[in-house]
Amino acid sequence: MRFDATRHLPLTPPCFQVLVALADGEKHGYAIVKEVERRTEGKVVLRTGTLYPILKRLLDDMLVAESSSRPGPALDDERRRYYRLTPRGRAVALAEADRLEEAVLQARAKLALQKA
Amino acid sequence: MHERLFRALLRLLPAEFRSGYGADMEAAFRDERRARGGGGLVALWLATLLDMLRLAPAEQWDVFQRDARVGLRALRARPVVSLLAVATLGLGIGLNVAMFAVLDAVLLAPLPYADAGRLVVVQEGGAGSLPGNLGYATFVDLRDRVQAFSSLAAATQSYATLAGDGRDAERASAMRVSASYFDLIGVRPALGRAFGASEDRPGEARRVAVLSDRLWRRRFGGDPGVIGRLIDVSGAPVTVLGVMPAGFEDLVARRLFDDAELWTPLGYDPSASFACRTCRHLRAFGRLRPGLSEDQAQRDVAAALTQLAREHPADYDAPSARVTTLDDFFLGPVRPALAALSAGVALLLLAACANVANLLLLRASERGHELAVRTALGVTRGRLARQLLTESALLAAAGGVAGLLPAWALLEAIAATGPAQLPRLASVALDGRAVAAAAGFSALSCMIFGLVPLRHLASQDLGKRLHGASRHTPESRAWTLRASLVASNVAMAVVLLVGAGLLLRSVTGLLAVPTGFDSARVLTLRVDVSGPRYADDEPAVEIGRVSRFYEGVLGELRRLPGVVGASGVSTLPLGGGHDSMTLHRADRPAARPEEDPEADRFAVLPGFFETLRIPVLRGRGFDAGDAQAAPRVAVLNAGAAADLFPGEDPVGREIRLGPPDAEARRIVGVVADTRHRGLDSASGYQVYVPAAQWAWAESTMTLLVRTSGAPGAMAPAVRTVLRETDPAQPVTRVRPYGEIVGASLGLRSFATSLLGAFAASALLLALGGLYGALGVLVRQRRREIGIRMALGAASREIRRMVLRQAFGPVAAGLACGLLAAGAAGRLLSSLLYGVPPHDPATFAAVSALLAASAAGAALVPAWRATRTDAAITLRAE
Repeated sequence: MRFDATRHLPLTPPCFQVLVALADGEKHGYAIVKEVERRTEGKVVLRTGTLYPILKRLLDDMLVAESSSRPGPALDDERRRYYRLTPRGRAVALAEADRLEEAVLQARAKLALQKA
Repeated sequence: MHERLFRALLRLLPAEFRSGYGADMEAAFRDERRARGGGGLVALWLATLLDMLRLAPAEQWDVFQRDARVGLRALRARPVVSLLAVATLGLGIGLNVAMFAVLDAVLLAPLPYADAGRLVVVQEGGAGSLPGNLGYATFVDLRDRVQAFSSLAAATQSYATLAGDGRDAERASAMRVSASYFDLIGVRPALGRAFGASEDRPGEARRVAVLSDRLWRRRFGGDPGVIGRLIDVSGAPVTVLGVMPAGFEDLVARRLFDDAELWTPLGYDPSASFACRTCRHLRAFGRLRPGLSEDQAQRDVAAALTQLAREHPADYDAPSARVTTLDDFFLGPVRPALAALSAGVALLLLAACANVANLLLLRASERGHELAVRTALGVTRGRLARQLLTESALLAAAGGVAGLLPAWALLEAIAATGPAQLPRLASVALDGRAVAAAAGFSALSCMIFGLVPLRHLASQDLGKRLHGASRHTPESRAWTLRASLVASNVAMAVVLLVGAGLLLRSVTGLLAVPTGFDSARVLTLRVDVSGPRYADDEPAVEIGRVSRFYEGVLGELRRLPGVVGASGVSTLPLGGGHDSMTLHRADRPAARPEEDPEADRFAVLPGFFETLRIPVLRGRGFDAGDAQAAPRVAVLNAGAAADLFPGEDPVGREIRLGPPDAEARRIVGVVADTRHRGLDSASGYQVYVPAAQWAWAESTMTLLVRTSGAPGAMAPAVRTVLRETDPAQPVTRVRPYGEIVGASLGLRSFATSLLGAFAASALLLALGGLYGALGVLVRQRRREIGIRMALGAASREIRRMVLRQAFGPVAAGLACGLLAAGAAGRLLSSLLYGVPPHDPATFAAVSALLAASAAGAALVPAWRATRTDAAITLRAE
């Protein structure tokens, strides 16, 4: 059966942020939090109480997987878990980005029409 | 330190979540802490705490939901076992909820008075007499002298016939109270006002009344205009001063004054003959001053009485005082019965839990394979335990809901049959508190029976299970657990059976006590003759009128078809009322009249002994010749005759009732003793006098009508006779005499029927548990039995083998139960009559009953074992 990314849409904003944060490589929990904070210039701050239930669901849905590759021993903390985006996760994130883009375009068009 | 604290905080999360993300969360916390440095620590912790308070419940709930889904599936997979468990728990929880509702309403709810803990009953006793009522002069002196009370009130019973207002005449019970009564109880009328000291005096001033809300609504349609109006009370105009609040249930009025609905001032003239010190007919109530105990008050009252005895030596004989809180006075006597019943019903819940545990054990052993598979898939034992506990919680919750039905049924039964001694039974209800109790009992039982499958889980080697090794070996350890549950169930059933048996023997013993009269087929009814047609300032005139009324009624009643005899009495034997007077031989007046013995006085109408079939042992009973103008006569009971005239024939001798200057009465006969104050109290002295020959008109009488058929069926005809004789005279309490005698057993028969029901339920549970456990055993040993039978074992041997298995737990349970029952007998001792708490006959009968029914329950699985077809069983393997 073909994978249908739209079945997972719409994503909650924090969930979308987590997927996007993992787009450029695997990260542990705290790194995800920091990446989201940096990219949104502090506008979105993920708390652990939000992050881990999201990770749990993404893992259950196989949109995210645990990564077995770890950084060198000097940089590693063995307590950490590393997460990576799966191809499915990437597809869902892209689909969500498309959906948001379309929504924005539609909104813009309509608002511009009214202005005129 | 911070990390350690954070790790402790992580324990709030489900183990599964913790093992998945806990370490990562810890690392994240550490990184964040380092990033913030010392400055942001407080903010970090605050955010972390808030975060965890949100996360932990959500994750726990998530796990519970999953477990509940799995649990429901498991429960549905074995519907019979699940339903049996829910029904068993429902019974146990429901009966406990009902008992809780009763305790809550009867014992725990505060009395309906302001600061009720400080209200006391004040009683005066003397040499040879129990503490009881006071004379008016004594009351006045105690009120003035005893400092322990901030107020003291006196009350006496009266009855009022309400007429006028275009309605039928109605008789209402009333209380004559001193003006301090309303201040004392701290409850004011909702409408109008209470009476004050200016109205509590003899003469016209005391013609005022306060109505209960119930009477006000019933008779005056709740009309506020009734305040200040004159109403017709027993033929006299009385001004209504106030109406008490709607919710006010005066327990004193209800329990001690025949459910009085009307309060009028005591208004005694201190010089009146009935206001004397020895005219002890007033009940006294006090309010303790703050900080004083009833013991201190009792010492003060005793000291005051001693002083009074010095001042009036003729009126007191070694007086004593008793001061009891109102709470103890009303509830003290019922506490032992309620304690015994509560203990019984708690045992029943334990028995239900043991049974459910046995059912779950059976299921757990069947699910051993499933649990083993899940362990192999990496599910920890802790996780499995949580799953099993969730299933137990589901069962307990369902049991709690199911329990509301038996709770409701039992409460209905209690409300309908509860004895009068249990106050406020009418307010017992399945309210929010009872539902909360149901939830509590569910949780408690879940903790009890839920432990057993967990223990079983801990004792299992699930790894071996998966390899199929233990599928074929007898699970001796599981059997031990199951057998001990059966034994405990048997023990609890035995305790309850012994308790119920002892009570049953007491009640049947009491019912077999010869009452001295024949109450079968006798209809009783109360008649109160009052009003201007009868009242007169001259007692002799009034007595004549009242006597003629009763003679006319009796004549008409005797003419009714189906009536064998009719008479009447001022105080009905075993009817709950007493009327006692001192008694002495006319030829031997005592030097100290206050030392004369007391006798129960009965003013009777002609034909009394014949109607109640009280044997006349010597002389004669009363006849029409013993009229108002005839010489004064009396009849003694055997006990009084033997003590007053030892070795002499009392017939023809004279006695006096009351002081030495009272009229002398010639004894015309001696009758057998009758039970009067209770089936369990000895008869004492009894004196019968013709009602027409008493010093005042006996207006309140209980008529007795002996019928040839069912007494209740005669009630309409009897009422018609009274209505036709004088429609203004109300008739109340029309009841077969047998019911009254039965009701005099009150609390005892109530406790017996409840404990009997509990015991029967417990026996059923024990037998069910035994039957179930043996059934499982036979199924699990099918292979062994098959082989034995294939090798030529006789059916008899197989049966014996199964019965031997049953013998152990039953014998152990019986032995423990008998020991426990012996220890618990003390709880019941106040309810027992003529039976020692260790009555061997009861213990033997319970043992026999239990052994026989256990053998019956074991025979079915034993018989089924012999039906095992060896070939089929072995092939299936």
